Amino acid sequence: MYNLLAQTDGNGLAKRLAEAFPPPTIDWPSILPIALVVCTGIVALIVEMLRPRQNNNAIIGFSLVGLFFAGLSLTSQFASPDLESFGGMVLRDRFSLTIQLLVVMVTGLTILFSDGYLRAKRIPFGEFYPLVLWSASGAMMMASSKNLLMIFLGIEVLSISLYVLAGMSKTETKSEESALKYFLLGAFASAFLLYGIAFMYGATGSLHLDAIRSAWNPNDEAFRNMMLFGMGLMLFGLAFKAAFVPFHQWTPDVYQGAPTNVTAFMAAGSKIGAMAALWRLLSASTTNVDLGATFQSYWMPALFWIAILTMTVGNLVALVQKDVKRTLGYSSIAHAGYILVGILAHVNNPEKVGIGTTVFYLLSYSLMTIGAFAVVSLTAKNGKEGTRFEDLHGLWKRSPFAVGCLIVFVASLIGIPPTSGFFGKLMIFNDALASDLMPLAIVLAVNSVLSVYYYVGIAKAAFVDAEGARTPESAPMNLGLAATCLLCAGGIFAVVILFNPLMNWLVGAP
Amino acid sequence: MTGNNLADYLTLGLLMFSIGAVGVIVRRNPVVIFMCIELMLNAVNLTFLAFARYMPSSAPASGREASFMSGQMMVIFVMAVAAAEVAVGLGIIMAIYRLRKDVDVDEMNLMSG
Amino acid sequence: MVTPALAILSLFTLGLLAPFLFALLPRHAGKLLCLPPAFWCGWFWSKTPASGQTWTSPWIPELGITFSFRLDGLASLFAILITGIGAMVLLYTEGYCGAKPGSGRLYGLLLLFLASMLGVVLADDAILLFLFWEATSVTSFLLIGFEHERANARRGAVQALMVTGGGGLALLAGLLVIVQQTGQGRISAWGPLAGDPLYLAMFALVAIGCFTKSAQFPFHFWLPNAMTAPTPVSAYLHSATMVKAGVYLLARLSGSLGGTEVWTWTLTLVGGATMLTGTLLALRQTDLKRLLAYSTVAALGTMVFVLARGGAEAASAFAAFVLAHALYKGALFLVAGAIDHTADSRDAFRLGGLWQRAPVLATASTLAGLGMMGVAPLAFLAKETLVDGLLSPPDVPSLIVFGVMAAGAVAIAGIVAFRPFFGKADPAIADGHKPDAPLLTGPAVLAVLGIVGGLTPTFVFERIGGPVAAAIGGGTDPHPWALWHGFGAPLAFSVGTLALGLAVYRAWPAWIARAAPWPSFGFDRAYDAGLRGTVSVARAFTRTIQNGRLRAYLQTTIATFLVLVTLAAVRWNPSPQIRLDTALPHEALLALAMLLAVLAAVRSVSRLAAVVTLGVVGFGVALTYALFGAPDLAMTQIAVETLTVILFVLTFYHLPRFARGSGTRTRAVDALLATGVGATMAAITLVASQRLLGTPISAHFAENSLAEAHGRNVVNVILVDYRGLDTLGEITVLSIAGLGVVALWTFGRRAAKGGSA
Repeated sequence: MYNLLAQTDGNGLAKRLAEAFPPPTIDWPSILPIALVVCTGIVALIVEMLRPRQNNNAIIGFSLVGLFFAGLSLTSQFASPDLESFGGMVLRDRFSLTIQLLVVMVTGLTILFSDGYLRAKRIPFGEFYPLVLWSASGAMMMASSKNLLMIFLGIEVLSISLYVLAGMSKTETKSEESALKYFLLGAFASAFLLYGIAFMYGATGSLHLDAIRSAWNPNDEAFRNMMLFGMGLMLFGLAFKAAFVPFHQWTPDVYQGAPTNVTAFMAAGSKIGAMAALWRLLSASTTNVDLGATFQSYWMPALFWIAILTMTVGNLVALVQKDVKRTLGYSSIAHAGYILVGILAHVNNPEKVGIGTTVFYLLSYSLMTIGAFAVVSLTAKNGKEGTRFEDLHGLWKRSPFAVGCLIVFVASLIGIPPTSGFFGKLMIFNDALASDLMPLAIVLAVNSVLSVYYYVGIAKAAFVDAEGARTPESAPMNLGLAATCLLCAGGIFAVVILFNPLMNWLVGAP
Repeated sequence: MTGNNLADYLTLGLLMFSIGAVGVIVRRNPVVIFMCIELMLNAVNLTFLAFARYMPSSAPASGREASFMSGQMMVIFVMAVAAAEVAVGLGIIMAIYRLRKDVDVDEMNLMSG
Repeated sequence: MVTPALAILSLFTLGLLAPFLFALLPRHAGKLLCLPPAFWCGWFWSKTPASGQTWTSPWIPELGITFSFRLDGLASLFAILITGIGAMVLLYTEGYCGAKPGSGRLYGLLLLFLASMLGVVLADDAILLFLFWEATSVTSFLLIGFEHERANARRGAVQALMVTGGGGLALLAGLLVIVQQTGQGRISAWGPLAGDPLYLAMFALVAIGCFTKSAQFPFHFWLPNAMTAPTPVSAYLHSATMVKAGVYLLARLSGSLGGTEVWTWTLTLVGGATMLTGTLLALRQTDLKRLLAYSTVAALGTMVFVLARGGAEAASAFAAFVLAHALYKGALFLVAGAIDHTADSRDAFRLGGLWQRAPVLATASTLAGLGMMGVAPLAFLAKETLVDGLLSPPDVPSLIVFGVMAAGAVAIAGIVAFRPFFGKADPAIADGHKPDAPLLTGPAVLAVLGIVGGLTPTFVFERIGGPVAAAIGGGTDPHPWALWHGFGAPLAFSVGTLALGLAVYRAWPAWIARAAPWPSFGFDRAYDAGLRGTVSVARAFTRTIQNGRLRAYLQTTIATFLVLVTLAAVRWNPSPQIRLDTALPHEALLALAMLLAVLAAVRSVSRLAAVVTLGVVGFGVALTYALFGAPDLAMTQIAVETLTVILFVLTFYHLPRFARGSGTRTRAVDALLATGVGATMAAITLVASQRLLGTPISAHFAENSLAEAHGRNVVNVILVDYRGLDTLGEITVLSIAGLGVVALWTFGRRAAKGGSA
């Protein structure tokens, strides 16, 4: 088509366009994982349509196989060189491959334990599987491009699927309310993000993140103002997606109201995507001192305070919660704060602090969060679900294995050695010290102490006898859930034991 | 055709965006809130296009044509996304209306604390 | 290789297996389980005097973490205590718990704790040490809360975890700062750090970690509350081992952090305050275990106090005291547990006359009690060595503090070791069962060792005192231990404190009987108040911020944004310029129409009007696109807009009318925010577009693309051909949207039908 145009159009426009748009490099492998996940979703949907109201084993099987191959295609590219193809729309580098792999893993774990829960909750929603897969593809897109258009598209694919998923339990007012809150606030934040992109585009003339660095000029006041305004709006939008305080208020409500398996995916998958996008944006928005004031000197103070607020408010408010899902929601806010500290440490001193910390923390955070939500999902039965602390009472007697795993997850969330949670925090702490962010390191440490109290409460609730309390006989342990718990709990220790080979494999030799 | 300059379009966009944002804050009907968000998206599109049209000569090396084109492309995608959001959003609003027979967002505080 | 690692690993594994062993042989679990620790105790003893052997192997080089262990005099003293007393306690547990179900968990946790504690004293890598340190906190938490059905036990456990865990994080911070500054993860490789610019931070953080762990003033309150643990646990963790971890680490780091004014003063003051607090608070107690707990606090204070002095002599005195204290205090705790078992009471005020019922126990108790009084050989030796140090040159304030502590110890020893056996019995005391062999072995062995050890001072000094002095004192102690120092000032001091202590002991019963409960105060209350305060702050915060209302969330978000923008504006002070430009009439008209429509959409009360005005805006935008030379975009916009309007109308068809107006207050807030948004945005417009006002507009490309009809199509061609991925994304978005609508719509209909049927 393109060549045809160049031949027939003699008036020069085509030639100019040919100069402006050199035939883009096409590197199919770099979009293969995303394509696989999307296609798996489509297949899952078709299977769902062909055999409605039957058991979902076929769909689950397809989805897991699809995810497995996506993961395989990701790992097989680990050795390939970094490459930007499709006209700068798709970027393959270590970070993108690793993050995509994390998303694939998270999606697999979520799907694994969803069936039992959906059945116990009597949610006849076979579309769950395709939607969660597409949502995952959105998160993958966010990580695998430096083009703001693609990042925006990724966010929307991720979010729009999640809006629907949050409202999946259509007979529950809570679920619908959470969907509406999530949707309205999400769309609102998207508008801000887009407006920010518009100004960034206006200032640099490009949607590519690298253009920010090359265009930065602190001495042109008008240009600087436009960049700052654009950056502010974009951070606004991303802070919402990543649930930083004070843009976090939707998080506990939505986490509480949405079905637990969706919450698990939201807390892990969506957060990975948001953090990846944030990481890309912030890494691209750091400039050298030679030009005068650096770009980061403008936005760093704001994010510094946001990190402090996020860690503190997340933990403080979690202290008084009575609902486990809500508590975990606040805990996820606090952990977002910790991750932000890691990202800031990297951005502040990229030579000394690599991406290893962020990747490792995201991995460990996903394992413990998904695991914890999976155990909480055990309280669902006969279409009802109790997620208050009392509803966990007596779980010890009913499924000791799940409670055993829960203790591992809680220990890791607190950061007790030798769990991965501890090493993650240790790495963030170390990084913060290494890049002169001592105050953040101290706030992190203080918050870790604060968090002990409510995390212990979760574990304690599972041990209290059920007598006297409402006795929600929980769903029996099913194979998928047991597998999820085992994988998550095992993973928490495995990533520590195999720390060195794992990190070499994931982020490359230091 | 060239009587206006960029600032005028930007001002229009900003006004639309602000009015939309204000509308989101003050209205209580989710549909109206949502319409206000649509307004904001339209404002964004306008801004994109204005920037694309008036891309200054300092555009990056890839050339002004490329800059111009990426702005327009963005607009197309924003439209698509907005359409998707309309569909999903209205669906959610309908679902909640079926459950509650009421859609006032100030009444929706089942979950708090 | 790596024998220390093997010791830790084997004991850890044993801990994991213990519950199974207990299930198989409930009656003999203690006897069997105490053998491996006893073996390791012998091994460590045989390795002394060790001269700082180290083992190392890499683990996480990225973080500089290695598996490194070191066995020197200090480490081997503690390793011997941990394994030796551990063996006794395990044996004792068999007698204490019998075959009670659930005891397997107790054995397991005790062994896990033992392994972790061994790790703390053997680790040479800072992070590895911290790992074991936290492991002791966690196992201690589980052990204190072992009887988790009791609220007291749960509170004590959480309190201990919060205090020691919090301190642990401070310690971690301190260690990491040291590692960063020295570039060395191995503790043995740290030189003196006094000259480091961050010395104060290092010292403060490490000290907080050690003081919390070792229950130093003002963190002492958690230790008595931890007495809710089963007695073997109290004996082991809270007298002999875990609480000494902090003291151990201070001793270990005295070479790097010690020798400064800050070090000396802080340790002296904190140690002294702890000694006084522990002694005075102990005398107010009647519960045997709480009495012992407070006296342990005082003893720990003494150890810190001694460490403040530094040098080989102090190190050797420290070693003697640690050894003596572990032996007699461990024995006394075990005796207290046996008394509880025998008489079903731990009330020191009411107990008495038990010697007839339990003569062996009485003997063990007496021997241990003599130790605590500083009369039994080993303890006497330790005390004399300490006083010797304080007297040359005489340090009067320290001597007074130490005297109070020593006299208090005499009195407490009388109360807990003699009174229950030889005092007057309260007839109300129940007649319990006689203690059996496993229950007696532990206290007896420990008490006897306290005597025997003191009888062979040179031998013990060679194995313990000398190596410790070499490890942390930086040399050999010029005065090897000797039992008899001759008549002199130290002996006079000992006699004086003994007399004073006995006087207090005689006065104690009367005093306790009369003593009104003191007004409660102290750090335990402060802890509670702090916790309550935090919770109420959290609650207030939650009420205001997290009220569940969407609009409130939006308002917070917007308000934050406005604040940020204002702050940025204040900081960078941009100067907006206002310039009015002429617009073509039809463009101005279009803009005006759109603005009016926007206002109408926001203000409208009628639903249809709102939809229509929104449509007007949309079509206005489409028209603008057309004016901008993008008719393809305009067409898309018109299509999308039409679809949107139709969807909105459809939705409204189902929905109720707009709600009533809001209250005045809500309106006021709304108005305020709205004004804020408007003003900020207006300011931003002026600032943001300032640069572009002056730039000549280049219509070059736009005009060209307008002139050539092909150009507009080329946009689409390129979009489809070369940006296939974007299109894929777009299609995905749309299909998701469609799916969502269908799902929600059809299910909603199904639900509605089901509901009405």
